[in-house]
Amino acid sequence: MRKALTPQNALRGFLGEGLLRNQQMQYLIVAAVILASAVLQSTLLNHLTIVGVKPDLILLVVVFLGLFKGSTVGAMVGFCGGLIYDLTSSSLLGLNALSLTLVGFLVGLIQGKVYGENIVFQVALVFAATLMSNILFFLLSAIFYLASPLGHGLGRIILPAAIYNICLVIPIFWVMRKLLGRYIL
Amino acid sequence: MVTLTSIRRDVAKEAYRAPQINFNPPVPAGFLAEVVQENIRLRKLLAFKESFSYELVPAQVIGRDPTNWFNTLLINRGSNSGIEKNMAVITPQGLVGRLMEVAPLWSRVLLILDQRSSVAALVQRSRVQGVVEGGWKLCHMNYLGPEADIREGDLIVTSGLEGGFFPKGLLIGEVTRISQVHSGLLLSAEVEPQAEFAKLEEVLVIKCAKL
Repeated sequence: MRKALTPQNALRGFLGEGLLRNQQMQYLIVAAVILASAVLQSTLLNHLTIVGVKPDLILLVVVFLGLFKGSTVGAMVGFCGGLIYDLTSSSLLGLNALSLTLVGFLVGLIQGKVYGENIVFQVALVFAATLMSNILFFLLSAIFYLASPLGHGLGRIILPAAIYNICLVIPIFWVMRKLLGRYIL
Repeated sequence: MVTLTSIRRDVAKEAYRAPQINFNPPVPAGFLAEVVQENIRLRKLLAFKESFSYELVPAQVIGRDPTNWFNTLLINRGSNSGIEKNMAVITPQGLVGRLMEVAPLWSRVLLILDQRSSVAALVQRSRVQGVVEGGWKLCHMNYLGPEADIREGDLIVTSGLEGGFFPKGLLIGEVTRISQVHSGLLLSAEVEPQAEFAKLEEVLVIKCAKL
């Protein structure tokens, strides 16, 4: 019987079932997901700006992988995602990388200690992670006189971005689970 | 006899028939409307370029800052087109920003909305001088004396005190609100930029004055 054409089946057919199970292949898939989210962040999501903020797809990927794969993967994905942000935006090199690495690491610390499938918990976690990454970025930027006053940033950037991100938790986590569930989780 | 009127009539007939032509390969839906829109925008840009007494380099917007913290654009012109860091970027509506980073094939534009941007400016009506600084969706004209002659609705233009990169008289925006800064010594005016930053697709870089 012919298999349905899904991304998983296509990848399995292209690379072989056994190859997808080894660790190098998992890292390759994670790298592909980070790159794809970086491309989407720089292109499609620019058109989804509401009240001056856009959703942070890379942060959602970092939280998802940190929550289900642990602090090492969380920190690694956070570093790579943040570095891509640094390279494609006009911020100083390393500011986003450092803040997202810390967020990915801290989210990863709770892996296995809580029931990560609970949607309310996932929403709360993304809200906290968005606040944390933006405040860390703000503090690091303030060292280099890059950031606006905290009150301005908190009201106009950080809180709206956190609210926007939690609205996307369910669809993005569902897509991530569909794409990666069988190989990564 | 072929007259100008008969040629126009023939062209009009052809134009009327045009939608029935079968393109090969077929044109995707919406493509022609997109071309027409682009044509209108480029004509406006060209008309402005002809009327402006500076050498301008047209560029397309190819990217925006992926983060929420900064307001920058990427354009498809770089040092290979003869442009340099700090040159002014405009549209027919007004000032957009300055070039903060120039590579051979692309450049990054720091928009006047960005908190790192500051432009020497003056009130067109009263010639009062100040500095327009970026602030999220609006700009603020700061360092105005307590007796400064400035009103809501005044137009703000560049003052030209930018080391030669920003010509004098480029429109920045319109004053929407005036307030005292916290110390009470100076005034600050909220300036709404004239350029539509969310819809920018083509911009012009001011290279130098025409000889």
